[in-house]
Amino acid sequence: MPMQLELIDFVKKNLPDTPDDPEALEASKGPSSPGFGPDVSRAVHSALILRPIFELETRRFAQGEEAFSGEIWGQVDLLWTAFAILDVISELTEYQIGATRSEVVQKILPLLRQQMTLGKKSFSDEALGEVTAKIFDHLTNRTNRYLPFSCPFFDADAGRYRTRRFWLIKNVYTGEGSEALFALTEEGYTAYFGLHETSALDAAAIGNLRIKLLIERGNLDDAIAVAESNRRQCARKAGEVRTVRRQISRNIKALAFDRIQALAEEGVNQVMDIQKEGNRLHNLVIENLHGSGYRGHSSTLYRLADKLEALSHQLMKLSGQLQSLPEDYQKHSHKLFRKEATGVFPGMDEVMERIFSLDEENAARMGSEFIARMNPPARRPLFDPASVIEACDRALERKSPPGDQNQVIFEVDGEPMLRFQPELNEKLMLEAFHLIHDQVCRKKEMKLSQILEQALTESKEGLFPVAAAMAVFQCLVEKRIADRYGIHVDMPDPQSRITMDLGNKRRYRGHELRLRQRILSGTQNE
Amino acid sequence: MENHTESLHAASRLIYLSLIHSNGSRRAMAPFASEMAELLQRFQSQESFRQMVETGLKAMELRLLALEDKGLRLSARRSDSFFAATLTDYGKLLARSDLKAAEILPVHCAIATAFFPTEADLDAPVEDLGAIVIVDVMDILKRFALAESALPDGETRLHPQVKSVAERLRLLPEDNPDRQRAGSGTSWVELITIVLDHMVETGYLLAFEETPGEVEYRPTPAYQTALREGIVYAFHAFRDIVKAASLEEKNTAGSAAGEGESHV
Repeated sequence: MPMQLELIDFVKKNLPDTPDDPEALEASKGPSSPGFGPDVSRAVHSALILRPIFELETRRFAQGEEAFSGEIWGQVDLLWTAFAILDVISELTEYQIGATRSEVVQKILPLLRQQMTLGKKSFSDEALGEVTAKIFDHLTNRTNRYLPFSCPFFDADAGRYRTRRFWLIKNVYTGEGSEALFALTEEGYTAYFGLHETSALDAAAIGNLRIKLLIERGNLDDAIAVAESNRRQCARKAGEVRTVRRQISRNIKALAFDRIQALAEEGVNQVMDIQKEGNRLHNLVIENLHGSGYRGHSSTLYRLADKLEALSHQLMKLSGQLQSLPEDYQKHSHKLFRKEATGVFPGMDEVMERIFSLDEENAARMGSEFIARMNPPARRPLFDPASVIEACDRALERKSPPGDQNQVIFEVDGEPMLRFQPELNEKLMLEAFHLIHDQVCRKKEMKLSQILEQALTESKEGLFPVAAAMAVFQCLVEKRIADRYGIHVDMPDPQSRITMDLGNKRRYRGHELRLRQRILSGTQNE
Repeated sequence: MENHTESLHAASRLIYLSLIHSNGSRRAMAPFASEMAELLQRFQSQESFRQMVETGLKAMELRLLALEDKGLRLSARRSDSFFAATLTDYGKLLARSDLKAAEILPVHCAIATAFFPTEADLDAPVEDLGAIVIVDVMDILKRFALAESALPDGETRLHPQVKSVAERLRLLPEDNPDRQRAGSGTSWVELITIVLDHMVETGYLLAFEETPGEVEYRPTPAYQTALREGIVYAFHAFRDIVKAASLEEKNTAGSAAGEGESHV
């Protein structure tokens, strides 16, 4: 039977078909605005359904007919029993319309007996049965003729007192059978299941259902909030999985394989279910987007759709991780059979227990002992006056080293240091480069011998032709220089050689090189 | 051969206990008192044992300053020995973190000068040396500060540090009435008091209160040996300056100032 959860928090919409107090519905108009008053009223309204359960405590001192029932009342955990009853009824009504009182009492009896075994006395079945029956009667409000519980509360929104009327366990009439049948109402389910601090995946499943209901009712903002909380639950589960995985790889002995197995199997199933549900929700949202219903809320719907999609991605990842857990375990299972390394510290978990069972003083002493044995010996400097004077001396020396640091050195016969001055100085080389550049630009192609002749005639300086030759050589060797001056040098014919007199008793001998203008990309020079 | 092993054990034990004793922690020495007494007796009576101990000390770069009642007083042989105290350690010992070398150095030198004004005093028996009071030390510091400022510039005899030290000294107040307040800054009196108290605590000096309110300090053999064996150039330089100043004073004053200085 699918769980129809009455939503604890988001109730105040136009809901004509709930068995709630009709007055309450009239008073609430439109979507609930965030505000102090309405929130508190909502919380109170929801909390009221737990009042009958807590009021059980007041019946503790009632005397019963059977012997020792007073003692039983003193020992029993009423809250536990009440919730057990709710659970049993929900279980029994899964395939039937309702459960009878005797059935419920029968089921509860052994559980109650379990509670009582902690004391020394053993009680008779009748006594226990009576107590159970009394609790059941209280929950059904038998004393008040099976009418609904009526709890007044203050509604800040409306500014006046209102009453909430509800049943937890309601009688269902079938027309057959001799005994009356009981079933849980919506409030009964809420009272029981709403309080579950559920495991992460259960919470996500519930969250999905809530989202569905919310969407159907048009409360989109709250649906987004629930989707967000779902995502958080998934993250929580993912965190659990991560921890387990880390434990597998680090300390596999601390895990039991069947736990991993169980985690994996049930987890995967749950995750798949949730994912399917989530996808259905997603489709529902998309439909509604394109449908007519929510004209003004399209942005919210989009947000909701995004959140649901993200959620389903997360769930898929999670299911993948869960599935791979057993495999991981197998992979690291060889560590179970590792030999303990000798001479190494014992495992942390063994030692930790022993340490934590010590009291503070002993533990501290053990700590200092440990530190003393683990660390190198401490250095104890010896004081004596002479050493202090020496130490001061040294400290001062460090600060101001002795020596004539402020004095200027006067060298009587000092000469400035000589540096190498090349004969082909910068200026000359620059001129040579310029010459070559101009010539090549004008003539587009020149031979080395022509350049050298030109250099000879052009300048009076003896070294100019040499500089020109050197410039050509540099262009040949160094790409960058060639690029800078836009010259391209190559050797067209390895056999041709030239011999030239450069003046000043110098003679150039070498290959005939060809200089061409470098055509840069993008520029038309010709 | 067990004899040898046993003696080695005893010698090492004596050195270990003396280290504890020299560190000044009387509380830590309490459980070893009887053992120490026994070892000391052996040290004084057996020559071979004494030699063994001295060899051990030399190996550990330690120096024996004096034989005291409760143990051997040891110190580091050189400044780079493992056991040598540094300025920070000294600061910790004095429980002052803002120690400046330039302030502490003259104080120690002044105290040493007060006890041993001449070179010969370092060898004289300890009982013959007099007692000093804080006023004496203050006096010496004043003379030093004055004398140093009167030194001609370009004086190459001294370390440049000494100049900065004297400079710093001149800048400090002699006494600070707010001494009790925390963070009030140092003064001569405060520094001298702290140093003297610490040395009394560690057993290098002895304090007597002959007249109420006036504390006298006398040196111990350990103190004398430390200054004699230690290579403390600063102390000697300090003393020279002060001596020169006092000689000048005598000349200019032209009367017996009562110093009774024989030449160095």
